[in-house]
Amino acid sequence: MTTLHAEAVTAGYGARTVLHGCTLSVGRAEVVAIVGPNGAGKSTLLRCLAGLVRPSSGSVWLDGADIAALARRDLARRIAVVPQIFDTLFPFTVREVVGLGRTARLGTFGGASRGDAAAVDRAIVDLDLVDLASRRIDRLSGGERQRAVLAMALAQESDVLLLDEPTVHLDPAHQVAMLRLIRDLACARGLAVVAVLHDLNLAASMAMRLAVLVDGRMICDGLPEKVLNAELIRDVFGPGLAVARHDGRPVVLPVP
Amino acid sequence: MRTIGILTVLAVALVVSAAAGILVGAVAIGPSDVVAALFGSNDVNGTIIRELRLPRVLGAALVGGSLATAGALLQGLLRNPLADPFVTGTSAGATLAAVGAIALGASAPIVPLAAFAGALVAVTIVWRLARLGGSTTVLTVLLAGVVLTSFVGAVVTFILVSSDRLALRLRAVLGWLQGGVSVISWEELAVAAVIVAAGFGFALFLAHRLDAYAFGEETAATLGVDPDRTTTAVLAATALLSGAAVALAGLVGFVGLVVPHALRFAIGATHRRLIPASFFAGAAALVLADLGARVLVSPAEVPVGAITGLVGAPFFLALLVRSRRVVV
Amino acid sequence: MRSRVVVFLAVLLLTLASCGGAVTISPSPSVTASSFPATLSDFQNRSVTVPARPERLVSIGPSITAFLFALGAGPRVVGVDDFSDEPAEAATREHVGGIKVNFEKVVALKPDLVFSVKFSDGTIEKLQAASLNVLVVDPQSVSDVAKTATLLGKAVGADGEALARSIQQRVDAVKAKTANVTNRPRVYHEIDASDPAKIFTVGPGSYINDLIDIAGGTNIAARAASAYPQLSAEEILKTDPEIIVLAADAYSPKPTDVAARQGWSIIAAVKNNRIVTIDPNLINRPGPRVGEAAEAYAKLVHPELFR
Repeated sequence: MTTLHAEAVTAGYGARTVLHGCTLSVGRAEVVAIVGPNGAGKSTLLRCLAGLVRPSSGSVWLDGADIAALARRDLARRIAVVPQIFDTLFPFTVREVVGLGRTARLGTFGGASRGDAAAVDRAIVDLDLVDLASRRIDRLSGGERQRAVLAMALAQESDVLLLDEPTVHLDPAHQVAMLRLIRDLACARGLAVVAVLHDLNLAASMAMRLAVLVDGRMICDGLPEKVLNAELIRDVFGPGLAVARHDGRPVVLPVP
Repeated sequence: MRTIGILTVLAVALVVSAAAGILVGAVAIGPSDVVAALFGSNDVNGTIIRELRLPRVLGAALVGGSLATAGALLQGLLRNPLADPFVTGTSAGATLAAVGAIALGASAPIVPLAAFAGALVAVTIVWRLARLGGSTTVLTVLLAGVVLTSFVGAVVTFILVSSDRLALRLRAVLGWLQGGVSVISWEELAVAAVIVAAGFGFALFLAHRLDAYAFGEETAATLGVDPDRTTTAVLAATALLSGAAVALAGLVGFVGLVVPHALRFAIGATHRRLIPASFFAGAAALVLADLGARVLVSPAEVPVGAITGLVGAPFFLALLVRSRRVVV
Repeated sequence: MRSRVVVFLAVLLLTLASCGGAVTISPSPSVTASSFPATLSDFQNRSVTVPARPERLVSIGPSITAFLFALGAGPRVVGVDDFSDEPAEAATREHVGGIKVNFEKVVALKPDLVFSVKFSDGTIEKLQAASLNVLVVDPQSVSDVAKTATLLGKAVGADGEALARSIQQRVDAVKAKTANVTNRPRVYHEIDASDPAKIFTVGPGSYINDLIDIAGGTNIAARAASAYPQLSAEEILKTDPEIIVLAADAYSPKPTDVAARQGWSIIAAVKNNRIVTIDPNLINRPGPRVGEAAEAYAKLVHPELFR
C-alpha cells in the first residue's frame, strides 16, 4: 500500500512553473532518492510532498487522503521533514532541538507527556547523541548538528520522512554512515523515506529506487541498476561521465 | 526543576525591587511608617504610599513585564535576538495617536486610551500590508513595520513644528515621548492589568510554538505550526502587551530588547521558560529604573526612558562583546 | 463762567487720570525730543543707542507690548508677536511670529527700534545682523517692572518713571494691607501639570512667587532652587497647601480636575474647597497691570481683608 503518492503534480513559484506533471510513490520501509541535474526541481518536488508548496494541478495523497485538506498539526504527525537550514542564533540544547519534533503532539500550553519524553530519548539514542544532549546546538560541528536535526525529525514519530540533501556538511565517511543509518531506520521503523541527493553514487548506495527528475519532469523511476545506465547518464548529465560496476552495483565516474 | 528555581529567583527579585520602590521616594518616609501605610494608616504618609507610590510601582512592573514579554515573543517569531517590541509599528501608532490627542486638547485620561488604540491600529495596518503578497512572512512584517514607523515619525514631526499652539503643550508631548510612569489611577491600573494578563496568557499559549521557529518558518510549518496563524497570533499578543505598556508609560525603550536577550544567555531559549522569566525580570528592571528616575535628580524627575537607554545601551554592548559574535 | 468750566474739566481730567483699569499716561512735558539720542543699558547689559524718537516700533514679547501701550506709544507700534493680546488693540497690529520670529516680516516693517524678550537661539543676533536696533527687555519679577517701565519710557520718549510710580503705589497698598496678617497660608500655584510626573510651580526669582509674597501667602516652593522648579506629587501632598491657584485659561485644569487627582483629596485646599483660579493675563507676565495682579492675588489669599 503506497503511503505517500504524488499524482501528476504541476507546481511552481508565482508565474514560474517548475514541475510538470510529476508522479511519485513511496511505501513503508521504502527509500526513494530523487536525483537529477541542478535546477531540475528536486527540492520543489520534495516541498510539494511535504505540503509546503501547493500544486497548481495534481495532488499529493497520504494514505489515501489529500494532504491539502489536512491541518498543519495533523500533517506534522505523519510527515517529518529534516530541514536543510539548521543555523540558529538561539542557544537551544540538543535535547531541546530534538524535543521540537514533538511540537505537534504537545498539550495546549506545551506540556509534554511521558510518551513525548520517550520519543525524544529514543531519537537521541538512535542518532548517538547521548553525550551531546546537553550541549548547545550552535556550538556543535556541522555533522553533529545534522544528526541533531535528523533526530528531531525522527522524534516526530511520523510514517514519512523527507530529506533534502542531508549530507551536505559531512565528510565522505560520515556521509555514507548517515545514509546507511537512514536506511536502517527506515526498515526498523517502517518509514517511507524520500531523499533529494545530488551524489548519484550515494543515492545508489542507500536508495531502493531512484527517481530521475529533469527540467521538472520525471523521466525515470526504478531500481538503481536499471536507472543508472550509460544512455541515461549521457542524456541527463551530458558526456564526461561513465558508468562502471562495483560488486554488482552501478558506480558513476568522471571520464578523464 | 530548574525552571521553577529560575522563576522563583526572578519573582523574589521583583518583590525586592518593588519594596525598594515603595520605600524610596521624593518624600522620605521611614520603613515602619511605610508598613503602617500599607495597612491603611490615615495620615499623609499613608496617602502618599497607597495612592501615589504603590500604583506607580505596580504600573512600572506591568510596563516592564509586558515590554519584556512582547520582546521575547517578537524575537522568537523573527528569530532575531535584536528584535524590539516596537518593530511592528506599535510605538509609531501609539505616538501618532497620543500626540494627536494631546494636540487636540484631550483630557489626561483620554491620551492612554488613544495610545492603546493607535498601537492596535498600527499593528493591524502592518499585518495587512504584510499580507498583500499572500501569506504573512516575517520579513514582510518587519519591512511593513519599519515603513510605518518612518512614515508616522515624519507626520509627528510635521505636526510638532507646524503648530505653535501645540508648542504650548510640548511638555506633555515630550513627557510622553521620553517615557515616564506617571501617577496612575487604580482604575487605569486595573484595566491595564487585565489587558496585560490576557496578553501574557496568550504568550504562554504561543510559547512552545515559537520554539518551533528556531530554524525558520518552513521548518516551523513541517513541525506542525501554522505560520500564518502563529504570526497573526504573535502580532496580536504583542499589540496587547506593548499597547498597554505604551498607554501607561509612553515610549520606554531597551527593556523589550535587552531583557529577553540577556535572559536567553542565562536560561536558554525555550520559550516556556523564557516568557515568564522575561516578565518577572522586565518588571523588576523597570521598577528599579523608575526608582532611579525618581531619586537621581530629586525633586525633579528623569524620564524613565532615559534611564533605560543609559543603562540598557552599554549593557547591550557588553552582551554583544561577551558573546563574541556579530549578530546581524 | 469760563473758570468754572476750566475747573470742571480739570477735575474731570484728574478723575479720569486716577482711575484703575487700562493705565495710560500722556507724555509729560519733561520728556521731550531733546532726550534723544539716548544711550541705554538693556536687560542683557547691552549698550544700545537710540538716535532719535523712534516712530516705528516692533515688540516681540507680550509684556513689552502691554507696557508700550500703557506708555502711550501704542500708535507707534507697527508689529507685535503672536502672543501679544493685551490690550486688545495690540492684536490688530502685524504679527511677526510666535516661538520663532519671522525675520522677513520684521525687516519689512522698517522699524526704528525693536524690543524683544531674551532668546537663546540666536534670534537677537540675527535681528542685529539685519541692521536693526534691538533692545532686550525681559521682566521676570515684580521688581523688574519698575526697571522695565523706566527703560521703555526712555527708549520711546515717554514718562516711564511716572508709570513705574503709579504701579508701585498700587503694589505698596496691597503690601500694607497684608503686612500684619497673623497667618500666611501655604499657597501652591500650579504652572503646568500636563505631564503628571513633572509638575511645575513657581519658585524664588519668579514673578508669581513675588505676588504670593505680596499677597500675604507662603509659597510652598519658596525655598526651591530655581524660578520654575519641578515638584513631585508626593511633595505637594506632604506640604499640604491651604490654597491652590490655577490659571483660568483653556489649557489649565479646572479645580474639579485637580480635586479628582488620585491621592489629592487629603490636601487642605481640596478638603476646604480652596482651589481658585485667576485671570491668566494677570499672572502670565509681569506687565503694567502688576498692581491689579497683586490686588487680585491678595483677594484670593486673604479674602477677609477685602470685604
